[in-house]
Amino acid sequence: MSPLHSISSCPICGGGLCGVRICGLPSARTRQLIAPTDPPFGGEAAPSDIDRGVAPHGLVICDECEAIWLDPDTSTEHQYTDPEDPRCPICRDRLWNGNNHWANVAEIAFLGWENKTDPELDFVPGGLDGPGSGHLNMGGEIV
Amino acid sequence: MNSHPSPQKRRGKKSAAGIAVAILAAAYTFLAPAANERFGWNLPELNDRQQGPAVAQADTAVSADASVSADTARRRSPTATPEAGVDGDPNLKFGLLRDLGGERYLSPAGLQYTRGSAEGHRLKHVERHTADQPSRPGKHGVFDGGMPGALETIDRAYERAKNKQRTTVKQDRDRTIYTVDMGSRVGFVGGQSGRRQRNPMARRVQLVLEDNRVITAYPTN
Repeated sequence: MSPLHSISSCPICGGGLCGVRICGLPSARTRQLIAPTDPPFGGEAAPSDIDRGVAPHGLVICDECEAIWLDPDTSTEHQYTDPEDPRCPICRDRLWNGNNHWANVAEIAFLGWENKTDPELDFVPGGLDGPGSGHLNMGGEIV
Repeated sequence: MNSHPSPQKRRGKKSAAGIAVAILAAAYTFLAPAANERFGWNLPELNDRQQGPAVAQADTAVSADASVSADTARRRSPTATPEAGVDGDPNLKFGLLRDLGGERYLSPAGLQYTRGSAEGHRLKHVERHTADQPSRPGKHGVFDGGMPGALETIDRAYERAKNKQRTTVKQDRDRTIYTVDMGSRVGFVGGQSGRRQRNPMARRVQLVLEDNRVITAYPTN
């Protein structure tokens, strides 16, 4: 899946989108610990698990060459992760199928990066109405 | 009185016509690539036997296990060698790649496809570039020939890069980024940006490697 919102085309490989990804989201386990009465979990608690958590944080990742920026400015220094076992450089969670995903509008606002994305590069799933459409309509709650 | 031209005159007319055809063919060969680049056309080459772009109109995920017979891939592959175990080996993935175990696959040119990428495996990532994603922002390079065609083209690009044939190289720490001019069409440019330009043909391959491991590869113009 393409990034929902991107900062720019990739200055490294030229063909990728430097998409905003939010990582360090609470896992189902942590959510259960914080709100143990929420379904579908019960009430068991292990507070030490919470201590291992990392606050949600943003990454900018090229969806082709996987160059990573910790800042929404792709002219700054980038880094790479292990190509066979890609990990978040901040929390070491799996980069692609950990507690993370391409950020939506609300999550980008949470990161404070709302003015950093390029509306021309917004992804509108299934939409061919032109770039930018839906930029303000893709809100979602922070999971 | 004889109104018919002499055999010498007929031969002269034929050779003049032949020269004119040759001049036109040469002019077409010379000008077509420039016109394609300038206007985003897809004028065929005179000796072009390739099919048009295999455009999928939906952003569908395709399985890395979709395979073409080894015979088909062998016929297509100029780089396949008996050393790579291509001939008659039905166990090759996509008719081309040798299974090294641990989800690692080796191409005849020496490229490795391993785990990694958002799709879980580099082959699945490359497979994204065998069909258009019209709603993807920006460009999306699409290889001709499905997965076997893509793997073959990537191998040819790697061979050309190793031989420094019409290749630009950028070294970025452990990553090597090759832009290889393949000299003729290898696919087309899709995505929203490509669509706006009426899907111009692509004749270059962008190849991002770490050592011999493929990170990504896609056609570009």
